[in-house]
Amino acid sequence: MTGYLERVRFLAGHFERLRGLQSAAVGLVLLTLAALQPVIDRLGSLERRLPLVLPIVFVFLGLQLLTRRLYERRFGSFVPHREPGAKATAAIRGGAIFIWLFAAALIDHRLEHDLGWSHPILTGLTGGAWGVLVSAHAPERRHYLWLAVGVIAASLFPWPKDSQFLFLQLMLGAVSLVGGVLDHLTLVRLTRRVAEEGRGEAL
Amino acid sequence: MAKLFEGLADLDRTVHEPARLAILTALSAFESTDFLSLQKLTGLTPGNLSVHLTKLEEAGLVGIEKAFAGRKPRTSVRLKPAGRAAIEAYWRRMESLRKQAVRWGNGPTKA
Repeated sequence: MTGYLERVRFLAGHFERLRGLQSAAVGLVLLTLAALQPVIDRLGSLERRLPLVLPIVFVFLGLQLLTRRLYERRFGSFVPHREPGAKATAAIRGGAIFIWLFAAALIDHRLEHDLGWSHPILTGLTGGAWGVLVSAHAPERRHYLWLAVGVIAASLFPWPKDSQFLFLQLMLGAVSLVGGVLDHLTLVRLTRRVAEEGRGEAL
Repeated sequence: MAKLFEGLADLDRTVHEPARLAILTALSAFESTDFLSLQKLTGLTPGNLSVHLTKLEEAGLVGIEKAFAGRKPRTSVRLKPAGRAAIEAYWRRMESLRKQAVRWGNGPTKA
């Protein structure tokens, strides 16, 4: 009973975050934009870039809508319980992480120009620390620990000149895509498991 | 030791039943949820879930609203304040009983 209840508790507490196909869509768009970056740069002006970027934005919005519908049909809908002020705290925390990530990329950029240091280590360490925190909070999401190791390892390699923001984009894209798909698989695996256990519990 | 068994005997039977405990535990993470979500979270069959929800509603622990979203019927379930208090008290009590059991188990070996 304890294992079953622990799984129910974990699933309920992480039900929103485990809907990983939504963040996988974000990752897919970020990686597509990173791959197209040389073409986007060559196009020059904003008017010439828009016909390429706008369809990607529409595909992203379409994917978000599609995945939301898919989750509602397969896993139902809900309104999460939040303590007063929790939403604001989460928004501030999320904003602070993003600001720090950009600051880290900027510092890495400065280090390259001033010291010739071509490893985006600060960005990689920040991304890695976030991954470690996520996996420490939820043992069922330990795939973020492996992603953190991958990100830190990638940041130890020398990268081409001025590629700190490309590294940031690739890191966020890859972590969102792979982590999101693995979150989704965790959701499917756990709901299957509690379904097997739940039938036994409810006699 | 007697305290430990008294504590176990005093547990609220409505909450302590495994399926209802799973439902209340799952509901405690949400303001409200639909029937499908609750079914996915607890793994209970629709029939069992329905029976236990009715019992919890009769005990005044959950609120159930039935409405239509277009042509589809939609059942929305939420924990009432009494239900939230009951499940939180239950988990606190279980934690305290667990600690007592650990102390009881460690007692003779320490002495």
